[in-house]
Amino acid sequence: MSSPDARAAPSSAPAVVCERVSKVYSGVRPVVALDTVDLAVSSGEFLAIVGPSGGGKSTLLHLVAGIDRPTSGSIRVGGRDIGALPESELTLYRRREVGVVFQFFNLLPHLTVRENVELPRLLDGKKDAYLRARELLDRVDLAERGEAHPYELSGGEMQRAAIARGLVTGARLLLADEPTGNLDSRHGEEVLELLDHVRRERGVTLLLATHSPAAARRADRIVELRDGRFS
Amino acid sequence: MTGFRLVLSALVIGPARRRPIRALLPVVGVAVGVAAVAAIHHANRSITESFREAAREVAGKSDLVVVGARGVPIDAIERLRFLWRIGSFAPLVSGSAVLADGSGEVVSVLGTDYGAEGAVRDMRLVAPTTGAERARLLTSGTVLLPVSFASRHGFRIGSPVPLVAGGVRTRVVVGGLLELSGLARAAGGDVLVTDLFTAGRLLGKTGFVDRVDVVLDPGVSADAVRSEIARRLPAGLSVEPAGRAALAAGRMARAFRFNLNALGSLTLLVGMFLVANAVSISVLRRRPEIATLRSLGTSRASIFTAFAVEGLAVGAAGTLLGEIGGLVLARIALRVVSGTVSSVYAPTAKISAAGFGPPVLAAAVAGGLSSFLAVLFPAVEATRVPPAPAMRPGSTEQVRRHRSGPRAAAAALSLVLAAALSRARPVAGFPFFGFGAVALVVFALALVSPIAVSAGAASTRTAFARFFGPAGRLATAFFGGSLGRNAVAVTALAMALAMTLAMITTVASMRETVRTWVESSLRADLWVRPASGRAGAVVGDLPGEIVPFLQSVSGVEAVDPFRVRDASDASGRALTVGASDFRVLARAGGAPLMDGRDSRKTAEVARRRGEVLVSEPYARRFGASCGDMALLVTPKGLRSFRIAGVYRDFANDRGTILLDRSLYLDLFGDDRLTSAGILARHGVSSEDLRRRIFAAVGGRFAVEVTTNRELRRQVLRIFDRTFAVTRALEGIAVAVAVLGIANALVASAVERRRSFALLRALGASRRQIGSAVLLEALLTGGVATVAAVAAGAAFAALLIGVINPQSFGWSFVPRVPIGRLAAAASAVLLASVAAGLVPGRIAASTDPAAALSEE
Amino acid sequence: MLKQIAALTFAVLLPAPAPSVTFPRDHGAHPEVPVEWWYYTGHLTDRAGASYGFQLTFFRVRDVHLAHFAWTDVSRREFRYEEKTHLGLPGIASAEQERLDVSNEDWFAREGPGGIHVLTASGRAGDLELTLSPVKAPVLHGESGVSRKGAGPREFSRYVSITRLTARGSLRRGIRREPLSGTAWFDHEWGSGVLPAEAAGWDWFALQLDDGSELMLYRMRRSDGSATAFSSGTFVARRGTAVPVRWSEVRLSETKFWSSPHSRARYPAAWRIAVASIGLDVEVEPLLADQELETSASTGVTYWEGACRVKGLHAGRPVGGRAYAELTGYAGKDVPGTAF
Repeated sequence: MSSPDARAAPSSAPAVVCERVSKVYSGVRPVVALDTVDLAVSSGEFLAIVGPSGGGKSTLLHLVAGIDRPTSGSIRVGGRDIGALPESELTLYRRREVGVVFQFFNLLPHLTVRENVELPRLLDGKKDAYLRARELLDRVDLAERGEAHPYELSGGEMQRAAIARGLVTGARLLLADEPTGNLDSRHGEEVLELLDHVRRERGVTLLLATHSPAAARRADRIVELRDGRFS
Repeated sequence: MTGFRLVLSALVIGPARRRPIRALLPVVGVAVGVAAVAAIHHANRSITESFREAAREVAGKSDLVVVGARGVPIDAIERLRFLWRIGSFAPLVSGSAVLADGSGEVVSVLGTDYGAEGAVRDMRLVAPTTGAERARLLTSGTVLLPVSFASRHGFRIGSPVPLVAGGVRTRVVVGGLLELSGLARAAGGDVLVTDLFTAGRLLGKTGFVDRVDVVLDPGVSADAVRSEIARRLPAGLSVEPAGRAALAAGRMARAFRFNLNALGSLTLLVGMFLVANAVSISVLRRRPEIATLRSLGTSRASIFTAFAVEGLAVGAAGTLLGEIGGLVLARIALRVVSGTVSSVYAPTAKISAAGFGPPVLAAAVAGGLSSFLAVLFPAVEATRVPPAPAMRPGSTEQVRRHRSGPRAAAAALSLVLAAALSRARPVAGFPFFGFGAVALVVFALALVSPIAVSAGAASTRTAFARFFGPAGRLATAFFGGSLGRNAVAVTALAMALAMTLAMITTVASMRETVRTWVESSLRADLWVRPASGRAGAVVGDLPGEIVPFLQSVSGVEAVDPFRVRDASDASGRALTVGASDFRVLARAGGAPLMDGRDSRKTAEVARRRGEVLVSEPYARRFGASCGDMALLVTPKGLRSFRIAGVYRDFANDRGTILLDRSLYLDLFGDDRLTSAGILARHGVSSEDLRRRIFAAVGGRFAVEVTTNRELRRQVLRIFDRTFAVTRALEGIAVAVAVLGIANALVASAVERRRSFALLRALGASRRQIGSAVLLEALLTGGVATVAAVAAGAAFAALLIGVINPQSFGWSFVPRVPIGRLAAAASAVLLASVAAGLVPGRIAASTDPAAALSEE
Repeated sequence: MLKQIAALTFAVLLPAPAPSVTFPRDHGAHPEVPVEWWYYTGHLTDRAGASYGFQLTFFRVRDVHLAHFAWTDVSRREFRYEEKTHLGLPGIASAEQERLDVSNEDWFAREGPGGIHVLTASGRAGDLELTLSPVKAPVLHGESGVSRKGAGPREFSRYVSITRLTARGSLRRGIRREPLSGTAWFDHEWGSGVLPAEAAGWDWFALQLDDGSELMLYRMRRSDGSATAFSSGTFVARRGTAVPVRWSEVRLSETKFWSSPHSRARYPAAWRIAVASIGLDVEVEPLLADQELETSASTGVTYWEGACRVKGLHAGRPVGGRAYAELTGYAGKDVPGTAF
């Protein structure tokens, strides 16, 4: 593959900057998931992170999503070092500034699809959650399925709903962790298409972790993580 | 076999090793259920045993017992002389007295024929030791005390023991000390043994003894001797196998045991639900493992067997822990209970934990069986899961769809059946069908609770979201989402709360009825009773000569000498005979009659015609009504009396035949009284008259004089104390159920790890997640409360309308104590929210990265 | 004679001695006094010539009725006894007034038609049934039946004996029934039961000589072994004439001793008794050494009461006979007098 800066960023202002980021999972035999990684993602850029399973893709996304904190190094999003944020602010960061799409289990099973989409905005106490959710469901072609429960949806529909949820807060950063890993190629293609469209449409920075070269093709830039390092 | 071992380790041992706390949860569930059942059983048995033991120590080794309507006249003992060739016999006088040493304790007084005691009862002297000193005891008129009792009160040989016996102040001298064995253990060792004549003098029992115990030589047929004795005995006396007497003593506490048993079975049910809940959760959680094994070709049978093995292991471990816990709980329960038993049922009964027996089989079986059954259904279900979709993470939270139509139909059917059963008559005095109806209501409740959970979740969705924001919305989603598990928790709590509400309603109705009864039936201004020290019950009786004495006190308008004693009907069924001066009743009125007629006129008619009044429990028990004949064994033989009226009575559940005093004196030749009601002359205040009576009594009689108001208050106080036990047990049932909620929620929190992680990833704060769990707990409690109100109303109707009248012969006017019911319901709601605290904390502290990395 | 029963009594004031004693009325109970007993001893032989001794005593101490039954099988060298204690209740233990009818459980002594005494008692030795026919009229001891035990106002009792009755009856053991015949002695005494403080015990003898005469003798013993001034006796001649015997005429000496393996007490076990006024000089020796009773379940007193043989001279002629002796106050602290 290419080096980290193989392709130029479409915009000059970096949305995400990782500096010497390491993540070590402690245990009887500590696992180094990320080893002093540097990365800069420009605002509006579509970055694909590829590499084998266990290479550190998900870990990197979790760190950027504020779900986990780096062992060392700093991750700056919109100028703030999110690794240093107190828990309450980190929660707000997750709630407002970042959207995530996972491979499995994107939706809470006991809420309707629409409620799932509303959720992050609801958590923020916003009154317009319903309207925003409807609008986004419409956008991802799930307008008819809003009152269904997740178990009634196909895999592709679930991922589309997750994308809608990722955008509902108006976050400028969207993270997708193997969103097509559980889908057949036709539905996978649809989901990728949608991701690409919406990020262009809304100027969202997109970080996509995938091991599928086909998925990565759409990206502005591709980086490969192997054994916790870019190669 | 190795294949199965692999399945076992993949499915059972492996997960248990990885997450020991999770594996322990069902064990704790079983343990709590078993402990509750075992505790109630232990407590129940040790109370029954205490009653029985007292009776048994008195009965000694005897094979037969001779008893009579008014004891056994001394002259009749002559007729047993033939027994000396084939055995021996020992007469006994028994009663109670109050220690007047400031302690006010009640002691049993047993008067024996010392010499015969060796053959019949066990009695061992500790002191004096020399033969001559022991020989002197026989004629000294002194008393023997158990060593423990003597040392507790600081009595030594030669000490005077001040007593109030039979309303008279007296004193006896300690002649010897007894080892605490055999007879000395009667009444838990608070006993005073003396010779029959001394006891007779103390207790005012002259010319008769209470019983004669017969011991036969080995090889002598008790049946043959029994019929020979019966042939020789005069009318009014009967001979019974000794065991039956001990049994009758146990009957004393029937109402009490009944309370315990009803609540015990309730706790068992709640416990079973708890177990089922805990175990089924642990099975559901391993569906991915099951799916993996199934996809690898493991047979359904071996998966099922693996779970069965686990169920048995959980059952065994939980049962063991529960049995131990039960002993501890029982000790606590007994401490609460013993006061009531001795104050209400038997003033000299001593409840000790000594009666604790072997492990409770019922609890063990219940624990083992319920955990096995609980594991059975989820295990069967698990084996049916097709491999592929189950492998997908998240499938553990697959929403299970319940078909509510058939459930609702089945619930309605069981309610209809319950209504039908409630109309059936009791079987052998036991409200068999009434309890059947209760069981059916429980069944209906269990059927309906998943529907209630869905409905509860749906109906609160909007409101919760509005009031509590996203946490509220999440709570309703979670609540409705874990339908199966929450339904079980709701059922358990609803059952416990429903029973509590029903008991509150029943007790309140009873109390109110008793209160009005007391007000209308206690017509006298004052009551004179023998001084009874600290005992709640009346100890001993008063000599007959107190009647003219009281009549002579200035300001006394009339005296009603009241007497109650045990008696039996022709077939030996125990009942109570009461005697009252019907002339006084005709003037002042008595207990209200069931048919609303004037009790004064009825008393007057009954007096003139030699008829009797009977209590409501008598009428129900013997199926008698006004105009029928009541049969009574008297010292003059079997007599029958026409029933002039049925009166309301809560004094006892055996049933009372009330005779006019002159008729009673003629038949029973017993002029002693249990108490004397006093009507004050117009214009004389109760307080004033009480002072006059005390002044007149002087040192002659030791009496307590109670005013009408005090007596009313006393009756209600005793009533309240009786049901304090019930309240304690209700508390246990509810606590167990609330624990069930906590258990279910902890399990959910563990199981919904991924949901919480996702929520955290989406920006939910810890507080929001914690609140959602707390609100879910509130919903569980709330839905359970709503279900409990409905089921509680049904239970209350059955208790008040069917079970109580059928088993005790008491009917009362239903009364709904809104305040107390609301308080109980709110307490349960609060407790359920509290039950959400720990699971809430667990949920809030979910580490999103770790949970999401499990993908 | 005073029995160990005194141990059971209270001291109470008694009315002055009744002027006269009449029979059969005074064989009955005297509930006005606290202590009373009916005492049968006797010597029996079976058809094979084997000899036996028996003692059957009914005590009444206020409301308490006690009874002792002892059986001495001389040839088998066996001594057995039983005891009973009951409150006086009909059918259990009683003593009728006006006539002789005392019972304790199924033991009894009753006067039957013609002045006979019917006795029944049972124990491990067997069931004894005896009919006793008086050979002599009742004898009143002391001064017309008032027998002084000490100088105190209440230290006396009423004491009546029938010194010789012929006995006929049987002992049944299982299905075996052994006919028996012999001679018996009956004592009946009632009073305050109060003993003089100086008495440590007593030795009582009832001698029945082959020549048809009898001697009752008791020594009220001080702790040093000497007799108090109230020791005395009565001699009953062959024809029934009773002669009081003063202690000054009596010489009583122990010639052998026996130590009880049960109580460790040391009892005299042979005596020489000489009464100058009636020309009697005999040796009295137990038929069996161990005739000790430990009555823990009734009187609580340990005493020796047993059948003895008599041999010596009476009025210059050799004479044989049988006797019962009662020895109290030898077994340590259960000396009856110390209870007061």
